[in-house]
Amino acid sequence: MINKFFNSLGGVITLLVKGKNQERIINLALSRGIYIWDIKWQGNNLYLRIRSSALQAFQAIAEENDFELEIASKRGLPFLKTKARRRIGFLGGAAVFILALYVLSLFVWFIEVDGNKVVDSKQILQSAARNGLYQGSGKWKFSCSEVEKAMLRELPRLTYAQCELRGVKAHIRVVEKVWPDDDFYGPCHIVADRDGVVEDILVLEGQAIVKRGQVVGHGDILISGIVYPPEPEPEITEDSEIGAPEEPSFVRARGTIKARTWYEGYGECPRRLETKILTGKKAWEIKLTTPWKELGLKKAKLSPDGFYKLASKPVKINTPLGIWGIYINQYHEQEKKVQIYTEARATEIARENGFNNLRRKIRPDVQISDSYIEVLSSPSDNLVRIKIAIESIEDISRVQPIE
Amino acid sequence: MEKSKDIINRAMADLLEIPKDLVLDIPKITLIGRSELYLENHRGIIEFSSQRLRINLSRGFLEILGNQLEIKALLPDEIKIEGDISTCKFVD
Repeated sequence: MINKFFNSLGGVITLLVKGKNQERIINLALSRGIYIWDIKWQGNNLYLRIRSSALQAFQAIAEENDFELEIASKRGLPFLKTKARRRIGFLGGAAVFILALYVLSLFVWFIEVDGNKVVDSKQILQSAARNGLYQGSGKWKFSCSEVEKAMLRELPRLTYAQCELRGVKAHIRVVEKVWPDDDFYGPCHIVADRDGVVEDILVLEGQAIVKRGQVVGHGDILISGIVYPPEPEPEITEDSEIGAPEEPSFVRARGTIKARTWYEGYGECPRRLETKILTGKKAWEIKLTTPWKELGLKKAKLSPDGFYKLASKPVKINTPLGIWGIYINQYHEQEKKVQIYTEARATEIARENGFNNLRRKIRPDVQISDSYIEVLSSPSDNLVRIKIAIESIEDISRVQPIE
Repeated sequence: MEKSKDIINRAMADLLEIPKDLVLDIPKITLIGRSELYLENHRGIIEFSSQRLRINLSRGFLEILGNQLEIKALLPDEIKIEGDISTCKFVD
């Protein structure tokens, strides 16, 4: 393999030898140190290969011994020069292509943000853009370490930022600060988070103020963090001195207060429902956007009376010249469907909708103990409207520091 | 004279356990399947066609018969032959 490579660097000539006893020319060339290979007969002709540097010596042997030589083919780098001269346009195109690739690789075309949960990617990208890193920016215009420093300065929520360039892609990796949790460690009360009737009391620390069955409102103190010492039994003797009352102690109230609470929700359902369902038929449209013009590469065949749902996949690149992009629009055909519900079925759907709306409002750990439904609409109404009230038992305690 | 020199060389090669192809200038043939043949210590080509190849050796010659025979490489001491080799024969 390596031999072939060096041979093609120097140039290889395939010769056709004519004459009698061609073995003789092979032996003569061998004795003069000419390297010959691929010696074979094709019909009555003997073909062999030599290096282009050995051609003159081989020709001299052939002339001395009355052999005729014909050059069958020339291969290798020295012979490519003449070919290259003929195909100057092709070579020029290749050079322009390589140059264009090199120039395009000097810009950042893609930016990826990774590691952020609270801070919006847009904010990170805007901060990077302010410091020179944006889609289409030249790599020489910014320094990754400067961008990192600036991002940490501008976005206080970040604790670490890394900017890495890989080819035409910039990868921004960030780590956000983790704030200490909102738990209170100083003295505090347990207050009611919402209105309710107390059902169950468990006090771990502090002094319970409410009793079972008591109605409490939002913000009422349930377990107090101010604990008064028990009053001593009065034993009056002659020697006893009446001392100053003991000071109350402040603690962090702990405990759970479960209460019966109520939630109200609303649900509705039209008795005549018009829906659009997908038929499964699709149509494609491809558009090329340049900074100067929008070109339609493929048009979608759409019927003028049909209904379509559009799903678009744009691929955009922000270049110094403007925005370039390809829009692939997919039209999903839809069909109108009219559904008529009975009053009972519409009420059931409205109830389900109401329950679903309510579930979004209440915490997942809340136990529902009872529910009530009130139909607000009249039987002749097209829209069935329902009011739902649910009764639940939940922990209503919330920590409030003592001021 | 030549024969006695040959006998001495052979005895020395046996005694010193040296490969005979190095000392005695005798051919060394490596045959890979029926398609490739390497020959070391040759003395040139006597006859070459696609069916028959005769290679000169220090003593006699080697006749190779077959089909589509080709000399893939030819060096002053080595030769590589490819093709459908059917017979390989030493002739004095």
